[in-house]
Amino acid sequence: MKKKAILIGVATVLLFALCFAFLQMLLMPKYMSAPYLEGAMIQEYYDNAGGNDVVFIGDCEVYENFSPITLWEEYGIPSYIRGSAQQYIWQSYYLLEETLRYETPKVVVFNVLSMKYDATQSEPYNRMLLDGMKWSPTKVQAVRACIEASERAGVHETFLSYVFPLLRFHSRWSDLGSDDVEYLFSRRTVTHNGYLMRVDVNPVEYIPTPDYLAPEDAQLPAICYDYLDRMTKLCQDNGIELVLIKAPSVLPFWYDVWDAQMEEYAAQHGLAYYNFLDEEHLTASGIDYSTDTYDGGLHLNLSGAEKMSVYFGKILQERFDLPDRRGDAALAAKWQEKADAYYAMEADQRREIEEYGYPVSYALPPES
Amino acid sequence: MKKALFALCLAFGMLLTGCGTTGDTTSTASGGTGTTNIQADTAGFTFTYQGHTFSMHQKLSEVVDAIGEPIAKTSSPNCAGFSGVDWFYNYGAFEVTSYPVDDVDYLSRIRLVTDEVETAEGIAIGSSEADMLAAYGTPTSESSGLYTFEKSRSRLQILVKDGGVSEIDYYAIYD
Repeated sequence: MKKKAILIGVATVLLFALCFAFLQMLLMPKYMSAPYLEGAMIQEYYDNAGGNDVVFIGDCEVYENFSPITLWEEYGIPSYIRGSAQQYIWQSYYLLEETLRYETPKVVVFNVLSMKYDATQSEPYNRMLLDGMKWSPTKVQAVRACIEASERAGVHETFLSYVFPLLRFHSRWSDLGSDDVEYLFSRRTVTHNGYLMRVDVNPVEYIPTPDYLAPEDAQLPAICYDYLDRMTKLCQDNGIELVLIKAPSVLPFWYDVWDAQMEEYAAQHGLAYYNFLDEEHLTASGIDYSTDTYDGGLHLNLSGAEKMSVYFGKILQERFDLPDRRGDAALAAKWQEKADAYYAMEADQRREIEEYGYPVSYALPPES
Repeated sequence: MKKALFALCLAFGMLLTGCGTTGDTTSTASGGTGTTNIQADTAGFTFTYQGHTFSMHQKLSEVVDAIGEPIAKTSSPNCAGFSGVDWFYNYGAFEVTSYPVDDVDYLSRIRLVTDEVETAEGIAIGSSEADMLAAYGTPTSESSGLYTFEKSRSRLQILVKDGGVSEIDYYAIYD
């Protein structure tokens, strides 16, 4: 009898665990359709980890504005963009730390827009990043940092909800769709080494005047400088060149006083800093806001990303003496596969624009 | 065994329906009160244009209904763009910015851009600092020429340079 009771107990626990695991897989968002594709980005890295000379870290101003395929085709620079939606600097630090468990790039490029955020702006951004990370001591620290950042914003999150995401997404049962079944056990790739492609064009028509920034509000937050210091040290300790950039996105506003702080920081720490909003860079790169953006200048489209990559790739290769690896047959074959998928997606998006007026599988209808 | 299965079903039933937190990936709005019961702040600082009076937290659609579509507009969504966008509308003499709550856009800022328009108290770009202070009295705060006045759920910020008004902004105050 006792043996039977134990067996029933064990079977019940196993059954509970299996059901829990299955429900968690079913109810967690799959991020396979617009406008949530960004949620799939972080976990795509693990199948592409290693062998990258350049790693980009940051928010949509990196994953929409640079093309790793172009960097490879023009300069033989293998690269990956470890981007995520509105990535905060503490997230960038831990992503970088995690990346260094898989590879040691020669250059890390970090977009500095996130220096303006000292707290979580929206909790789903934490989920979209953290739920895609593999568990490691780094992820534990990242979760804690994100929870602290949410507390600063008055949003309460629990560590347990990251260990068991079902606790967070349990009520999604009423929102289940075909993606939840189709992508239950596997995902399709949505990026090209971290680049999220859009080929449509929506030119800049109007740039609003920025809010006045009072002198006492002009200083970038101390906690952001703390993480920037940690990122700088991490790169120094690993022999990596850290490059700071501000991508050529016209919004959110990037104030001159913030730019001056980044210039000063870069000078003090011997880092390169490029503000691609500066006229000299815009002219030299050939960025044209009437053709190279898909959302009125917030993000570049494929045309803009490729122009930026041609321009910045030359800078990276010359300044940091990056080798041209196109002569490596195995690497070339791997990148040829990536390029084939890249151009196939470009063709698919252009076909959808021709047929529907916008890339329906990749974006929501244009805002009216 | 039957009791164990019953307990299991009960546990999952509670898990799927309980706790009260939102389970989907759409976020609450950025800014705003986070509720759907947002009232225009008619008791605060208001702006009148072409006979229509606008106040903070008023629906953006009411502005358009009153004075028509803007000359130009743009939006500033978050990266993934799923939690709503802030709209920027350019009406030439002034600009309007909104914040989203539950798919509805509300006024978060009105900026007077030219001297063709003025505040309800008669202050415009180019007005003297003295006239501005006579109109509004003691500010809530002042720093480096930026005067801030608060009233109800709105804030009026007026920047003075070289003795004259150079910028005028209405801002919504969030609960």
